[in-house]
Order: sequence, then C-alpha cells, then structure tokens
Amino acid sequence: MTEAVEKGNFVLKLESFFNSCILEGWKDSIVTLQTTVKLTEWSENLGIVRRCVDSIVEKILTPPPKVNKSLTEAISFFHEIEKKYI
Amino acid sequence: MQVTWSYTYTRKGFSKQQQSVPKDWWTEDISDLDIDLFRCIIIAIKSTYMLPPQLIGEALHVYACRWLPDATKITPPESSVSQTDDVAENHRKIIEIIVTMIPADKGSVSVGFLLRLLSIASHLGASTVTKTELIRRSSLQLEEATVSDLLFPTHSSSNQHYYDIDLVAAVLDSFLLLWRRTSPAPIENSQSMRSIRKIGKLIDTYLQVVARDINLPVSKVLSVAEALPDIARKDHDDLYKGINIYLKVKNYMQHVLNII
Repeated sequence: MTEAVEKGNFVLKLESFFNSCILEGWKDSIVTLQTTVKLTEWSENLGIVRRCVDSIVEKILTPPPKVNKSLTEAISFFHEIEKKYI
Repeated sequence: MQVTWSYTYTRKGFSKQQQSVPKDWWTEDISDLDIDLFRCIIIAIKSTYMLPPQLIGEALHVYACRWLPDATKITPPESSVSQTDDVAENHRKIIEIIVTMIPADKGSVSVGFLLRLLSIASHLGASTVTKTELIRRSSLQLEEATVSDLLFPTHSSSNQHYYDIDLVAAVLDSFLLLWRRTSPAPIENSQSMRSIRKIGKLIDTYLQVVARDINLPVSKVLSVAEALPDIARKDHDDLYKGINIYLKVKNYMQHVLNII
C-alpha cells in the first residue's frame, strides 16, 4: 500500500526511523551494517548497505572539531526554536 | 547537556586525559565489521584522499590485530590440524584482503606489521601473490626494522628449528635486488651506502640471535650471511661474533651428548 492510498504506512515510518535513528548514530550504523550480513541480498537491494556505508564514511571523514562545532550550533538552534515556538 | 561519545577506546597507551578526539577514534569500532563490509568502508575512505595513508594503515593494523592469529605464538602441529578448515580459510581471506588495501605510500604501515603479516600469511598458506607483495613491501622498509621484528617462529612442522630464517632470507633477497639495481657503484657516505651498512648490521645482529638455535642448519645461516655484498660490512666483528655463538652452542651440545 502506498501513501497515496492511506497515510502513515509502515514503510514510511520505517524509512523515517532508519534515517533519523539509525543513520544518525555512529554505533547504530555499524551494528545495522553488520546485521545485513544475515540478509545480504535484501539489504543490498533495499540500499541499506550503501546507505549505512555512506553514513559511516561521512562520519569518519568529518574532522572532530567540526563535529563539536555543529553540535553546539545544533544546541543553540534548538534553543532558538524553543524560544520561538514552545 | 552531557554528551557521551559512543566510541570505545580501550587500547593500551591511550591516555584518558587527552582532551581532543584521537585521529583514529573510528578504527576500533569498524573492526567489528565483517571483512567484506570493512573493505567497502576502507575503499570508500581511500578513494576520497582525505585521510593520511598512515591512518588507513592504522585501521588495517587494528583490524588485523582483532581478527588474525598472533604470529609470535608458535602453534604446535597438532593444534593447526585440529583447527577447522573454515577458520583457516576465513583467516586467509582476511589477510589477503588486508594486503590488497595497504596504501601504496611507503611508511603507511610499519615494517614490523608487514613482517608479522608475512609470517601469518606463510603460516596460513596464503596465496603467492599475497606473500610476494608482503615480501616486496617489507623489503622496501627493511632499514627501519629491528632484530625483534625479524624474529618470528617457523610454522612448518618439518622444520626442527625455531626461527623462520627462510622468510628473512626472502625479504633480504628482495631488498638486495632493488638495492643492486638502484646503486650499481655506491660511493662512501652516500645514501645507498648508509642503507646497505644498516642492513649489514641488522642481519649480522640477527644472525647472532638465531645462531643460538641448535637445530638451525648451518647452510641456511651461511646463505643469509653470504647474501650481503662485501661493502655491507665495515668490519666482520659482528659476523665473527655470530659464528662464535654458533660454534659454542654446537660444542656445548656435543659435549652434553658425549657425557650422556
């Protein structure tokens, strides 16, 4: 069933969970990638392997100071949102 | 707000007081991955040219330490037979893939690591391509080697002696082949002269250690000693010392045998 028929499908929820909870995390991306070994063909066809690899490589290549900076930026960004909307 | 880093950094020599994140913070975590997935990550990183080759080399080193058997431990023939074929096959696959990923830059990995890999590859019966590549890479950095880097146990059950002198001979031959080609007529105090003298000293010191091995055939010791060109030795003191040790050990053993 696609989103055109009924909103809030399982696929969409899974997709957003995968993007926000798995790929954002360092260790989570690694654990997920290692788990794909058990279902190689599926994982590759669904692009899980590629996306996990991309996410891990991106984190490795991000220089540590930049991570800290973006983290503080993110926090101040959230504070701003908090002030404005909540 | 408290941020906890998810990476684990448990290796020796890491000071907890270190404020900044170490450059190799990621190496240990990705070592949990299967070799094929690990290869995907390393190849992707290498293709960006964003990280220094030494850092890639360090990642390979961490992975090898995690998955490959310890080269310095002697495996008695019984245990290598009982070791399942699957495990050995997997080890062979890992070492062969690791070797293909070593960055081409000289010094991206240490010579000690290369020699340890060579010893493991020889023990596991890895492909000739893998062994040849390791011999070639080790010989390019042989000058940096210490005697302890060269001392690895032989794994062949047919050999009665302890140290694997054949591998050292192979690396030395590879070194000399290149050295002869690049320096046909070395002059005193030139780089190539300093280089061969250093190797001469290294090999003679090595021979002093292996000379204590009673079962080592004299022909093997001689062939390594004779492989070096004359100019590799300023004097022959170290070589004589080695021969002396060898004779003393042989004499002593003969003496013991006579008493029995």
